[in-house]
Amino acid sequence: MIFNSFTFLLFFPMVTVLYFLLPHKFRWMLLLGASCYFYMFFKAIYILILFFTIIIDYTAGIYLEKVTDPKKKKLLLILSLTANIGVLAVFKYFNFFNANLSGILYWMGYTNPIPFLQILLPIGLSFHTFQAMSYTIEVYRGHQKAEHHFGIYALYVMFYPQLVAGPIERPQNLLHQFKEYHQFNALDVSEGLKRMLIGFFKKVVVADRLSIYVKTVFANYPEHGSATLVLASLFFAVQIYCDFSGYSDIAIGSARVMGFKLMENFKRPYFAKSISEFWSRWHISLSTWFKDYVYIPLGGNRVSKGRLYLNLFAVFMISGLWHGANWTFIVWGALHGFYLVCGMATQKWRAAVANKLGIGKGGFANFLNIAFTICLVTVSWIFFRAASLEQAWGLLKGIFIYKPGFFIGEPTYFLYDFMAIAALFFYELKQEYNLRSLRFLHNENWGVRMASYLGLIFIILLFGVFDGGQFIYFQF
Amino acid sequence: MKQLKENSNKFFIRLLLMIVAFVAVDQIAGACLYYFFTHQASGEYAVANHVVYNLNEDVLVLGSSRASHHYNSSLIKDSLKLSCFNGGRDGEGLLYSTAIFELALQRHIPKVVILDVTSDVLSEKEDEKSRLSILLPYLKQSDVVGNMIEKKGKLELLKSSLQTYRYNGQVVSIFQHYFLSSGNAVMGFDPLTNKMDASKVSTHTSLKPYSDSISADNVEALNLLISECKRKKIQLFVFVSPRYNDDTQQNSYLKMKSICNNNKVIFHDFTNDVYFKNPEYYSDRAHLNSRGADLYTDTVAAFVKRRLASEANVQYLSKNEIHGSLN
Repeated sequence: MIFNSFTFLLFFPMVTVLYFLLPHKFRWMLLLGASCYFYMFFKAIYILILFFTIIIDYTAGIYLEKVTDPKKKKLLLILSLTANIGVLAVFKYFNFFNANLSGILYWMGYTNPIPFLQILLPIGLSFHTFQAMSYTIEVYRGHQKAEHHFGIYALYVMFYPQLVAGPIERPQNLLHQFKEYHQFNALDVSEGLKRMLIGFFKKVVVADRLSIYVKTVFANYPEHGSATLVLASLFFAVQIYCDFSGYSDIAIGSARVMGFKLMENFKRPYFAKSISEFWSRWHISLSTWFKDYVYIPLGGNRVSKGRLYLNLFAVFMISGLWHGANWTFIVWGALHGFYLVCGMATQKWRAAVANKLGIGKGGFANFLNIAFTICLVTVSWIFFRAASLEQAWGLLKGIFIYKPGFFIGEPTYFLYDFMAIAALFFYELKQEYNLRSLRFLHNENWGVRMASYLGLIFIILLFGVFDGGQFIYFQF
Repeated sequence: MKQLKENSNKFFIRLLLMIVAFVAVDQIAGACLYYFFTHQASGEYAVANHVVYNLNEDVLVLGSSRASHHYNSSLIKDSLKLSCFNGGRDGEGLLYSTAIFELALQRHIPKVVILDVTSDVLSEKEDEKSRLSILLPYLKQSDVVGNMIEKKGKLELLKSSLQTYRYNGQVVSIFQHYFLSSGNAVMGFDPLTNKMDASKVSTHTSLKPYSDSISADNVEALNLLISECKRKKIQLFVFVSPRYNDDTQQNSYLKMKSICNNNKVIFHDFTNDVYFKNPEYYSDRAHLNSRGADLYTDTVAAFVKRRLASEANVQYLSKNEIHGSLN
């Protein structure tokens, strides 16, 4: 089931009302049942994959707590991680690696005897695998007690608001919340609903509206002029942000309605003044996951400069591969790794040059840094969006080797695109700089607040795209 | 605890008030939008509105962009001495044509209907059903529209009970065409003025032959349109208008031909008519420009004239016979 479907608009209030009506001891059953139903909407049989990893990790957690021998503990952790990564390897990466092997063997004059798997990637597999792995790692490290209630543990991995696209939660933050009694709280409900409304706006009014232009241009990029390709790339940068952060808003909001507090996943990333700041604002749950479970175990900042750069680059390459089994994602990750390493290596030099030019500090410097970061990120998004490296390269060539012509498409839709971006920019700007004037959704006057909610609902109804389909990040 | 209960009560009262306000605003805004929608002076909806609310012409042209850009209503009127209106619409297929035709029949029965089709008109297309949303403003006019909308999804009709949702994505266009009349459509005919650059158009077609699957909904729509024409004694002509490139190798084409044959509907394919293979007549490889459209309309009008003159429904005429009738 997708959030931007009418089915969800029926499912969500029904589950929420039942949740508050049921006695606390039965609530986990309701949430687990609802989560299974939610997931089975995509491809029912794939729920068995989830149960496979749930059983493995649940058992591993209990034994990790019981066993005292460090060697045995490590073995248990390795077994659990292997099972999780194994599932990912089979369902997500097998055909990719096999295709590359075929290419190498073909180049050497051989035929690859290994057949390809005829399977579809289970939706959100990377998200719940990473969430499950964070549990066993935390139990192994002793930061989290093993969960003995199988239903509660299953719910931790399957909680429907964040099941298919995060935020990738940590057991310390989420597990205990399933055991706490959540009384109906008007503040939580209204804040949650508000957050959901903003999420719907981002998804159906901004992301899906922009996707019409982006799809048209990317599908026929050789025919378009440089300005069109630049605009489509910038639109995609906004589209993917609104698509994913919109999902996170709906996830966080729908959990909040029931009294659950999920971690924040986005913090207005396009206001970042550097790539490293961008990664502290974009997909925060994934970047902190990689920091805690890959980057720090590799040595973190306490290694030589060369090793540090290598580690950073490696983490971003893995992050790219996490996103998708395609070279385009690996190049996307590698580009971000490269940006970060370059940024760190040239930091002092850049600061000196900026100071000499008198643009080292102040509003103009911030503006330049934000604009430069957006440019770098947008170039990387081209690889993320492209179906192949060839397409990405073709697009970049189209941008940098000037070709005249500008495509507008349907003029009213083009106007909607800019209206949507303007509304989003206004909203984010107010949040970023904590501007207290022109408050709508958070106005102290209840009448203004209600008019704002209604206004937003009607904007969604009148300008939203209701056939936009799935969220981009579901494929990961 | 008492405070929590008070807050909850306040919340539910406010929620109720908001629901009431939402329903009221939806009804009022829906009524306003309906007024502006039905009074647009130009644009694609103005054409559709004419078909639905004001049609009184003898000849009605239906189809996609190729219908709207290829059939000059004035030339048909001059040639056949029958008034004509072109109800074609960009990007729309049979589901739209059938629905709009059904809506028109509620208040007027034309004598002749010209249905322009493409060779893939019956093929399953990814976005065809989602495009049916454009019929939402006519939802209350006929059950046929409701049935078409339902093809989009089971819950679509429930969603459409929201008055404002029916005008989703149309607001700016509605006001633009209400306050600022634009476009050059005359009696629904929307001529294209540019000339195709033949050097940039490949003559090679990339369509795989006979690889398309047939849409049951489209077949049902075609059958419904044919049966309504028979029932109301409307002379139906089904034409495939010319295109610079050939793309006729589709199962849809064979199926459409067989349906027309079985129902004794006059069908003619102008796709490969050498008379129209001149790049000067095209705006792009699938659309005639105004010069090509005028020539094509003359040809079609002569064809229709002959068919109306002779009562017998002979299936196909040779090309010489058609062009000969122009002289």
